[in-house]
Amino acid sequence: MILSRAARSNLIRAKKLMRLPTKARASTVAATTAENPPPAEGSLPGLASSALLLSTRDAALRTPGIAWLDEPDSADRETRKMNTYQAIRDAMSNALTRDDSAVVFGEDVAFGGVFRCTMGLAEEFGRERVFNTPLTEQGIAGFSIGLAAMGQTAIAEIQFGDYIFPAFDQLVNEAAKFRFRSGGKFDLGKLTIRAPTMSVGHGGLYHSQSPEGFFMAAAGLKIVIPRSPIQAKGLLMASIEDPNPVLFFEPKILYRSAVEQVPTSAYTLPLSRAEILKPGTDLTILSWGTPIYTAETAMNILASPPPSLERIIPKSIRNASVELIDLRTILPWDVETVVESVKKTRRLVILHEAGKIGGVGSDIASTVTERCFLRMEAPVRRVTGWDTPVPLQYEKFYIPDAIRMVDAMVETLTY
Amino acid sequence: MRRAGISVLRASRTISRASYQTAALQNLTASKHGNLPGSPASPLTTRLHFFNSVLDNQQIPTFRILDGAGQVIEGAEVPELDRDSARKLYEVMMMLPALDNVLYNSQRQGKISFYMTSHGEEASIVGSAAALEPTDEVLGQYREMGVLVWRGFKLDNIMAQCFGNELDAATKGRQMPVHFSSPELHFHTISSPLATQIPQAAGVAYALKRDPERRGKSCAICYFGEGAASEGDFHAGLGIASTLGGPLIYFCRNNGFAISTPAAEQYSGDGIASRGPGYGMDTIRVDGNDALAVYAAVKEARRRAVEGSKAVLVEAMSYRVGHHSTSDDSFAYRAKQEVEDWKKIDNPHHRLRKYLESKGWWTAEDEETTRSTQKKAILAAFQGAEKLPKPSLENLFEDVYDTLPWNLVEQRDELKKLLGKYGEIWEPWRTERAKFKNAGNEFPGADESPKVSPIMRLIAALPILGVLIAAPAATRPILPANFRAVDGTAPDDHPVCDGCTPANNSGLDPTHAAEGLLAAGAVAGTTAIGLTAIRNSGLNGGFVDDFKRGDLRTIFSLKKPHDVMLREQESRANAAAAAARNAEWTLHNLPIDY
Repeated sequence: MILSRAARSNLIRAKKLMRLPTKARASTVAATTAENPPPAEGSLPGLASSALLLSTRDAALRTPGIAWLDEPDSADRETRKMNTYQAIRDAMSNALTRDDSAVVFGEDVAFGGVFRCTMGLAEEFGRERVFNTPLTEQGIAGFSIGLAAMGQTAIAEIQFGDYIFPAFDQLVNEAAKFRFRSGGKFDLGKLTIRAPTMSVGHGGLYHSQSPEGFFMAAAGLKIVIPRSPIQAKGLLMASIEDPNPVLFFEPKILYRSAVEQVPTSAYTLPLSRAEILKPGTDLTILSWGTPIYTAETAMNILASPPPSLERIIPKSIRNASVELIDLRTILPWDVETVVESVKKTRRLVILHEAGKIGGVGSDIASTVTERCFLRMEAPVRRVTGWDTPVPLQYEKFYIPDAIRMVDAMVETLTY
Repeated sequence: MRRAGISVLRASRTISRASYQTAALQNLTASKHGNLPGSPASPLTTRLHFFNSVLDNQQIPTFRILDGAGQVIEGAEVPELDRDSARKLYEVMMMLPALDNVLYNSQRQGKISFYMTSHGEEASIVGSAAALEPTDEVLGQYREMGVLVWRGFKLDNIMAQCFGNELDAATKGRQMPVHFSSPELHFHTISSPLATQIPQAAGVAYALKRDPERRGKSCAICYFGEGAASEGDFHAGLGIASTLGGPLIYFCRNNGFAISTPAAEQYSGDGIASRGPGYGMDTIRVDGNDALAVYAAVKEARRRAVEGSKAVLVEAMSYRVGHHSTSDDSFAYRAKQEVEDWKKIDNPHHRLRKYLESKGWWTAEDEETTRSTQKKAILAAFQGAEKLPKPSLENLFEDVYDTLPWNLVEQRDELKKLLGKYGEIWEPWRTERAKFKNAGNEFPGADESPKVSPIMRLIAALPILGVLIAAPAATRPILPANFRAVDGTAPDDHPVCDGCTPANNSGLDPTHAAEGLLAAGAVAGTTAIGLTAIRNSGLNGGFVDDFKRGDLRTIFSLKKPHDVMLREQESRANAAAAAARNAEWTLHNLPIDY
């Protein structure tokens, strides 16, 4: 249909009012073509509108818990727009600069890494410090343990969390028990192992897993999962500095999609401290990694449901005050913050991508129930992936999405 | 036929985008057919031949210097070993079976829980240890105590680890016997899972390569058996070590058995040595029962490893004379005669002794003296270790992380409370407790559960007070004679009691008061509410327990029960003593000169 310029702009304005998508220009929404294939690590376009991502310098510098590693005075701190993989790269660059003994290694890290987390590091620090290993996760893990046992800072990369299992023996039987079994004489404070985790939408069984549950029982390890670039940089630096071996799982779908103004100086964020992202009084949502944004979407839907969902969300609960907590460290987890929150709100919904049975949610639910039993208004509810491997074509029904979260919140609030 | 004019246009497949290897386009082989573009050293051939070194009778030879009778073989080059070094070699080789016999039998007598001997492998272990520098990093499997003995690990420490007593600095009683650990002697912690040390050794070697103070000077050595060499970690470790580099000796003790599995069922290839070339490693197979050959081989291996900053593989062939461990009876799967025969025809001790005697460095008298001195020292250390208590129970919870996380603080407190409740009346715990240091106060450093201030006790008591006063049918409770307000009383002005039971304490006759109170059914429900109020307020659980014991003093007196006060006093004293003991613990390590 041929429209005059005026008519065309009217139409666009009208569509905007109706909240329908205007015809996208090629540069804003990348049409997937041979020259422009969809990114392997997936993308989460909704993140652009998330209120949880900090897009201004001031907000970024006021991130709670920041501890600067260099001069404490923060007047002249700078930030730079970074996505998650750039922030992670920045953290490793800081670590390599500050600590001569630090090395970064894993499969394909020398050219920049399959997720670009090590771009340029080999060029900057040399191939003795940033290097490829042969294709063996158990070898990478064992090698990193030997290096760290000698007091040198080892930052190992496992290419996908799905492939961490050959390293399970080294991590659980050796790394976790290293200090305990040697009467405290040896330790692996210098060990950090990073791996991409969680779903992308098209990863299927072996590019989507959340393995943190398997390691929760490995007393001696720490497990950390960031939700954003600022968090990733700070928590990774903290993990490297922490005097215990740390598994650092990075939600891969956030590598490109999550963008923030990230402070350029070196800083840490505290481990084993959960962060209350939105305070509330009627219901607590606890999550980590990618599902934090699912929770945010669900909270928005609850507060102002679109027309199609209006009839299922009772008006009485639409102004429920929901508290959103990012757990951040899965082991040892911040029981104090969570229990204090549930004592206040009396309702808890835990959200994670991993399956229900044996998931991290089980441990948290049980501990919270032990401590808050008499106060609970509803049983602790877990919204999780189903107890199946991640099935490719069915992913949209497997991964807990916002509507499942909304449903759980409605049921919990009206229990 | 050469196809002239064809030049290789595309890059070798071994070149990556960043091109870290030069394009090897020339032919390095003697083949007239040339080579593939990416493989300059592999000659092309038209012969359809499968090679198999096992079937082609091309097994890797075994290096040896002394024959079975301890004589230097014609043409063999004896390594440079002076009299003292050679004697030390033999003495340490003698110490091992002396220790093994005592400790193995002590397990049979139930004094230690487990043990593994090194019978038959003394030459492999001590010969290799002797070829290293004292600061070379050692990653063992479990049968390498000889390396520690060579380096001067004291008998007291061996005994301490095997008994798991309070002087076990290596593992603080947490690990099974023979799982030694000594950073002072550069001996990494032994762990039960097999072969895990193999890729770790690659990391240790890389660290040595990176360390400017140790590069070109130190080496790492990694011991493992031929059975462990089947594990994935073996292949991972050798692959990583050979590509990333670092000075490292991989030392395989091929002793013929993995528990009951003979080597013939463990692999089909030419032993473990044949795998070395698979990783591009310099490899040697050596007679593991020939101490001089092992010494020479490891010396050369070390030179190559350090100078080339690379991994080298040594396979030492020997025979496991003893059982796998105290949990194994090897005569279930091999003939006793076979073992006796081996001990006669291929005895590492006899062979070295004959050599020493031939040099005039050892006599029968030396043998006798050494044997009795060693035995005496071992028995003295054994008897000393036997008497010592196990480490303080709080070591159960420590060192999981650098500090105790909340769950371990709570669990430690829970165990403490359970011991308080049942430690005297539950038989298994009562006798077990007595074996530990600080028996009776097993957590000297632990804080009490949250202290309850007198004000809080009063506030918590208010619901009950109010309820009880309001209940008309109840017997009016008798306030104890020593009731007073918040005063921070010292234990001293608490009346002395005999045995500290509620009946003979504080002037109040709590039995009557308690009976009166509880007999009044009307208040039973309200006191339950009061109890719930207290419980929900999160105060010290002991507070509620005291009430349930019928001890009203805790509610009305605002003074802590006598036994609680005694316990607190004791724990303050114990904390001070524990601090002194902790200092002592550290001191113990110093005179025991590692």
